[in-house]
Amino acid sequence: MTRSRWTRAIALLFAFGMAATACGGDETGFAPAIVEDTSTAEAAPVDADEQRDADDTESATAEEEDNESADLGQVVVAEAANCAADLPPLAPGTFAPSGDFSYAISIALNSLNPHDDQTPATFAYYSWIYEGLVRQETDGTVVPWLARCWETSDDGSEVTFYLHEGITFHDGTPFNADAVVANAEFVKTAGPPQVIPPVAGQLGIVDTVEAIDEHTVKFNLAGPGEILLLSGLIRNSGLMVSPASLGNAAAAPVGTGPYAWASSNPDFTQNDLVAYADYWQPGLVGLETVRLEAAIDPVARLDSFNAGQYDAAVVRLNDLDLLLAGDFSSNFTVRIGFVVADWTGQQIPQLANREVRCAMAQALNRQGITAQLNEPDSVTNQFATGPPDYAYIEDLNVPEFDIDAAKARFAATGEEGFTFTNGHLPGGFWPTVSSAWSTALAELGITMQNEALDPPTGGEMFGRLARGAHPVQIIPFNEPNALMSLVARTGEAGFNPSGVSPDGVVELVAAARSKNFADGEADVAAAWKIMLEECIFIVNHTLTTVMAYQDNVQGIHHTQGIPIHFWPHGVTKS
Amino acid sequence: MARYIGIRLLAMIPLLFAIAVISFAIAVAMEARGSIAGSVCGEGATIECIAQVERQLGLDDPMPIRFVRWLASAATGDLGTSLTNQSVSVSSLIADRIGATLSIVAYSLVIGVAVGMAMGIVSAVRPGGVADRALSVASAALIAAPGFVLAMLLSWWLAVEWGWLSPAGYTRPSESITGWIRSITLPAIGLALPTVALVQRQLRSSMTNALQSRYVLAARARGIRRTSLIGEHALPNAMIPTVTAIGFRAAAALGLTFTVEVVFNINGMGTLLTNAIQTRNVTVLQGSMLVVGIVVLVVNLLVDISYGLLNPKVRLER
Repeated sequence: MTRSRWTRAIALLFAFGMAATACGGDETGFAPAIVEDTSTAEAAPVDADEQRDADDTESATAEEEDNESADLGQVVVAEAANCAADLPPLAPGTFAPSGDFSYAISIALNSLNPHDDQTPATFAYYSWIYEGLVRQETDGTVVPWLARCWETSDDGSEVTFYLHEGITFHDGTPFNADAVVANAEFVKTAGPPQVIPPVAGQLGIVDTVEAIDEHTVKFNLAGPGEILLLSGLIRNSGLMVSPASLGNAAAAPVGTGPYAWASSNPDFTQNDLVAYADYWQPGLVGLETVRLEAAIDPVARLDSFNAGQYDAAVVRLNDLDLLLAGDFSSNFTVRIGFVVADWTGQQIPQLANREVRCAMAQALNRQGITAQLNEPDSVTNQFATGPPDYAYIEDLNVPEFDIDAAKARFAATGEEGFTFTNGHLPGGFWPTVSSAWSTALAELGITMQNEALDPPTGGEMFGRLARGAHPVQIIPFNEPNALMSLVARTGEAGFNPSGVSPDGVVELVAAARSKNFADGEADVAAAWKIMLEECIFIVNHTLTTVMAYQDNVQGIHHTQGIPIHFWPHGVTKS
Repeated sequence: MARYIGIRLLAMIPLLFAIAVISFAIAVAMEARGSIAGSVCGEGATIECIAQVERQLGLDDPMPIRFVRWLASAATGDLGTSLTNQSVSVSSLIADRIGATLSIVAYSLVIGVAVGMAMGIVSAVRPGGVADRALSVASAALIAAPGFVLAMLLSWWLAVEWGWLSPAGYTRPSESITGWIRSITLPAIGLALPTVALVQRQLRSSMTNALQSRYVLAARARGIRRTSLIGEHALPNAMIPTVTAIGFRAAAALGLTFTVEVVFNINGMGTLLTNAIQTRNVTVLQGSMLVVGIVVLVVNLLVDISYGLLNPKVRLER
């Protein structure tokens, strides 16, 4: 071979090498890119698996007490719920839908069956088709919806809902007390795959449901638990499916909502809806057709929105500067951190020591990790980011990152170094956060082995948490009553099986097990405080969902609490 | 030629069987790493549910029986139902998505082959000239830089700024022909750029040799026009190795569509396969692999047939 040929051969090999490197590097760059979306703009991670983990993390709304609402723990019930009060007359309005609306969401569904999913972000799909007895308003209060109002018995163990009359499902079936009973019983008894356990667990406090008359239905609870019931009913378990479709909602999604399902492609990445002409509040049906589309890649989704392909789209917080058109709103905020599941020291005795846990918390370099993830907008050094109703959290004495102080604090406990396992999802920011923390903990003499969960589902994550398989586990966590609910439904065999807490959290566990969230130190706000103060939940960073919409779209009002992006009722397009 | 094609078709049978075995084996391997029935039962699966699903899906039967049953169903077009949503058949999922993937792959091949051939011919006509050197550098750059990255950059101007093309998503031809072309152009460009480089280099090499061969010299001596010399005499022979390269590229493009489908938010076979892997949706994985394997076999068959068309010696020898 001549020199020239050798030169060409080497050049060719070099070019192939460059190509291979470029391709390889790009592929590895994809997973983080996808999950980065979730980490900055989503209430939950981008793929369906990762999103499920966020779901257990919230169920009720946090809202400051005000004069118009009755504050019961963290769930605020609107005064309008009180049947004794003068209820305002319904103003149904006129049915005059106009325009086609397309909405790009960052995740895909398994189906439009609301009961086989509990992911916060996917609620944005179901809310167009289904409605519940109650719903969470844009100011965070829980208000009656398909129910006119409700009454709770003096002992708190019975809640009676009075339903609006004249409501029909999209298939013409009347919505009445029998439909509510059928739905509640189905959710409680059908089991997977029709109803996944976490959704059934949302009605875990419900013993029986009975129809008093055609438009009155009573929930008999296992104990006092109005708030826990409401927390469940504002979620997937409360969405009413036509009795004719129960058990078949994946193929025939039929609800009472303002838009009726028209068609979907087989994997539900594209779902077309049409205005429901017989909607019970016709004035709130503002659009003729709606397309709900899963657009997973954040860059492509943003480009499509900027190009006018979508009327509304979920975007990343860090991409707001790249919005060329329209407006945006931010809503659901979720905190990502570590739950010290073994706070009673059943597996690792040292974890029962609050000072050990807080030393571990002090070793978590939140800003450093966030910088490493290149997500400056999502940083929360402590707990400063979030809706104002969490302001009390900032008063808590939670240690800021200081590795030297952490080492001294741990040394002062006199405890020996130990080894434990932390579970996390295998992709996105999870390994980065876990790895950074384990490096810092090593300086304290604590060895944290990180286990990437397989299969990588959030449900499995929570399942392992519930089974106590991991002494520490990283999870998205928004509201303490999600963990309370988890404790409640796993019972004696599940989370923290001993029920003994050395650090003043007995009341937390007791409250969860009695399913009583109504007062005192046992309420959910207090539980959240306890978990932070006792370094049971160690916040790393905060994520926020942002929704962009074009200028010609009106009526977008995002919610607080429930991670639906906005209620579709009253949305119009000019 | 018919006999040649028949032999090729018969040769596909053992290959199809091998693909079926591999598809099934991968599913078995996935089972070994975790319970499929557990996935079906979902979060918080009970032992009772898992046992029931295992009975329903026949997962408790011996492996050979399961394979034969699956193969028999697949032969009739029944690939089972998705494990994540049992109301959806795997066939319908594949039918819904394969159009997007094949559209993009086919369009990318059209772009890649057309542009690559033009570049290859220009290079070969005057090897070592300015055009040849410039095009060689360009093709080296296209090989080195992932095509979809360039396509994403193009997307900013062509789709977002000027609105000529769709930045993401897939429009079916049944909805709008122009929308369909607008939606697949950028992903097809992304997939086509390496093909352009590959075809240019391959054709330049073979065409240069062909143009220096004795039969071309003889044709030139007979006074045949230059365009005829290139198009009718040199090109058919030069195309034989190029067609082989295009065949490989078509098969590879099917695999590479995953990347393009992700960045352009297109629901095609690539994303179906990866989602199936992530969710352990074994039935979808098996079916998708089988179908992709069949498509690759068909592409290979077309390549073989084109050999016969381009070179009479091939069909006469077989």
